[in-house]
Amino acid sequence: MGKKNNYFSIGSKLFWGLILLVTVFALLKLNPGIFNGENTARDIIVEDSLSKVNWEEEIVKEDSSEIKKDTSLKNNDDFYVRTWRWESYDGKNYTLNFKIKRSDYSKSSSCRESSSAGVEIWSKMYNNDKSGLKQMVNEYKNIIIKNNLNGIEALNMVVSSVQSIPYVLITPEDCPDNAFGVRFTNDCRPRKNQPDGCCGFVLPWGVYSPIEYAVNGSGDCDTKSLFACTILKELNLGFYEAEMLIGEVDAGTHAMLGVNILNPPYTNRYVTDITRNKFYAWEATSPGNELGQHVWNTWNNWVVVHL
Amino acid sequence: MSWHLQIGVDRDLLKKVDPKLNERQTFILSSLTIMLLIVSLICFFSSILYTLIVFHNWWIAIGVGFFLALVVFNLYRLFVMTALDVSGSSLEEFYVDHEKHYAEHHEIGSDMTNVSDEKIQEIVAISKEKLREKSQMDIGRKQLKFSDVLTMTLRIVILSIIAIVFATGIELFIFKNQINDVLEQLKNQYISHGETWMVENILTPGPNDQFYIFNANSLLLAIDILERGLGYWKVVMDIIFLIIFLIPLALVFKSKEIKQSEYMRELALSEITITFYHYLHTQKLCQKIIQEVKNKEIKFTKTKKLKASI
Repeated sequence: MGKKNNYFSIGSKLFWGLILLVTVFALLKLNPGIFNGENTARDIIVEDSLSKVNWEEEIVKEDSSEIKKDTSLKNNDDFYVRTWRWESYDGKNYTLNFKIKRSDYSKSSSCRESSSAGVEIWSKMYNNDKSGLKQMVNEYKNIIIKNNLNGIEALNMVVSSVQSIPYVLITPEDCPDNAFGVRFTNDCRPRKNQPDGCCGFVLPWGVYSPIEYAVNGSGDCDTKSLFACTILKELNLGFYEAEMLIGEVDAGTHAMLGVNILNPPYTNRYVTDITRNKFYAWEATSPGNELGQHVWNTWNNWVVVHL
Repeated sequence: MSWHLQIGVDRDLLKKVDPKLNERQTFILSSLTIMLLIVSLICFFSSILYTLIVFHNWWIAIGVGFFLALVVFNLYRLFVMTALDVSGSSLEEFYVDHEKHYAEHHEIGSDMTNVSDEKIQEIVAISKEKLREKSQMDIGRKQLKFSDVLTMTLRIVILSIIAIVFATGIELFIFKNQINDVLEQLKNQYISHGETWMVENILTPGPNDQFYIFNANSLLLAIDILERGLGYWKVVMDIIFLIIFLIPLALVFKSKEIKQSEYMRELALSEITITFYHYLHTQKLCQKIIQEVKNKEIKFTKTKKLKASI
C-alpha cells in the first residue's frame, strides 16, 4: 500500500505546490527579477516594420539629400519639422525647411486608410492634403524666388528634391525580399545602402499620401509622383500643367509624374490625354532623370490620370 | 460537498466499495475533481484577461472565460474518465470479451423461454459475485499497444497546447506592472518620434472606452513584450503550467490507487453485469419470437397485379 500511496501523494503535493507558487506570484505581484524590460521598448520599435521611428538615427546623412528631424517639439499639438537638403541636376544645392501639423498628418493617414483602392485614391489624397502642405509649398516658392529659378529650372528643383530621397517600396502586402530585380528589407525608412527599404501592409493600395511622404520620406513610384504632382499643382506657376501618369514598363505597372509644358528638355516619353494635350513623363523614383527622358524600354498602355 | 460527482463518478457504485476503502477512494476522486476545477479556473482567469484586452468589457470577458473554462473542464473530464479502465487486471479478459463471461454462467443456445426474469436476475447476481471473487485488481506490467500510445500522445498534445495557451494569460497577469511600464515607454517613444498610428490605434483607448489591466489594445503586443521581457524564463513558466495541467492525467494513468481501485473494479463489474442481464433477456425474447413464428400457420394467396399509376 505504501507504494500505491506514493504516486497519488507525490503527484498531489507537486500539483498543490505549483499552484501555491503561481498564486503567490500572481496575487502578491512579486517581481522575482526575471522580467527584463530595459531594452524591450527599443527592440520592439527597431523591429517594427510599420514604424517610421528612426531610433538609430541612420537616415541618409551623407547623401545629397538629407532628411533631418527636429524632435524638440514633442507636444501633440505641435508640428513635424523637417529639413531636406539635395542637389539639383545643375549641381546646385538647396535646403528646404518645412513643418506640417500633426493633426494634418493624422487626417491624411485616416483619409488614405478610409479610401478604396484604385487610382481615385490619388485624387482623394491630393484634395485632402493640399491645404496641409501650404507652408511647404511656400518654402518651395521662396527657394524659386531666392534663386531666381525660371521655367523648367523651378520644376527641376522641385522634382529633384523628391528624386534625391532614396526609394522605399510601399506595398499593401508583406514586404518581398526581392522584386523586379531589386533587393528589399523590412525597414520602412529611406536607406542609403542596399537593400532598399520597404513598408509593408500600407493599405488599401500601397501608396502613402503626400503629407505622409513629406513627414516620413518613404515612397515608391506612385507616392513620389503624387507628392511631386501635388507640389507642382499647388505651386501653380502658370506655365505648365501637372498630372499623374500610369502604365506599363519593363518592371511592370508603374506611375510617373506627367507635365504638360512647351519645350521640355526631352521629348522621348509622353502620354496624350483625351484633349490631345501631351504630358511628358518624369521619373520621380531616382535622381538624375529629367522631364520627357527615355528611362524605360517597355512603354505600354499609358494614360493620364487627372487629379 | 461531493466533488467527485462532478467528473461523473457513480455514487451508487462508490457505495458498494469496501467501507474501509470507501473514504480514501472518495478523497482521491474528489482531489482529482478539484484539480480539474483548478485547471479550469486557470483557463477562466486567462480567458478573462485575453478578452479584456480585446473587448474592454468585463461582462464579455467573464462570459467568454466561463465558456472556455467549461469547454476545458469537460474536455479534461472526457480524457480522465475514458482513461479509467481495467486494462492490465484479471478483469480485463472479461471486460473486453463479455461472451467469455456469459459462457461461464450460461449455456449459449440453451432454451430460455421458460426462464423467468427473476431467475435471470439471480443468474446475473451469482455470476457477478463469482467474478468479483475471481478478479484481482493487481495490475502487472502492462504491454503497451500502438493504440494506447497513440491515444495517450493525442491526450498529451491537446492538453499541452491548452496549457501553453492559457499559461500565457496567467503570466501576463503576473507581470502586468512590468508590461505596462514597457507599454508606457513605447508610447512615449512613439509620441516623441511622431509615430501617431501606433499611439492612436494601439496605445490609446477608443472614444468612450478605457483600458483594463493592460494599457494597450493589442494582445499580440502584450504577449510580445512578455516574451521579450521573460526570455527563457517564459519557457520555464510554461513548463510549470504544463506540469500543472498534466498531473491529473498522469495520476490517472500511474497511480495504482486510482487504476487498481475498488471503485474501478465495481465499475467494470457493473458494466459486465448490465450487458449480461440484457444479453440473457434478449436471448429469451428472441427464442419466444422464433417459437411464435414457427407455431403460426401462414397462408400464401395470389393478389392482383397493380398497374403503376405514376
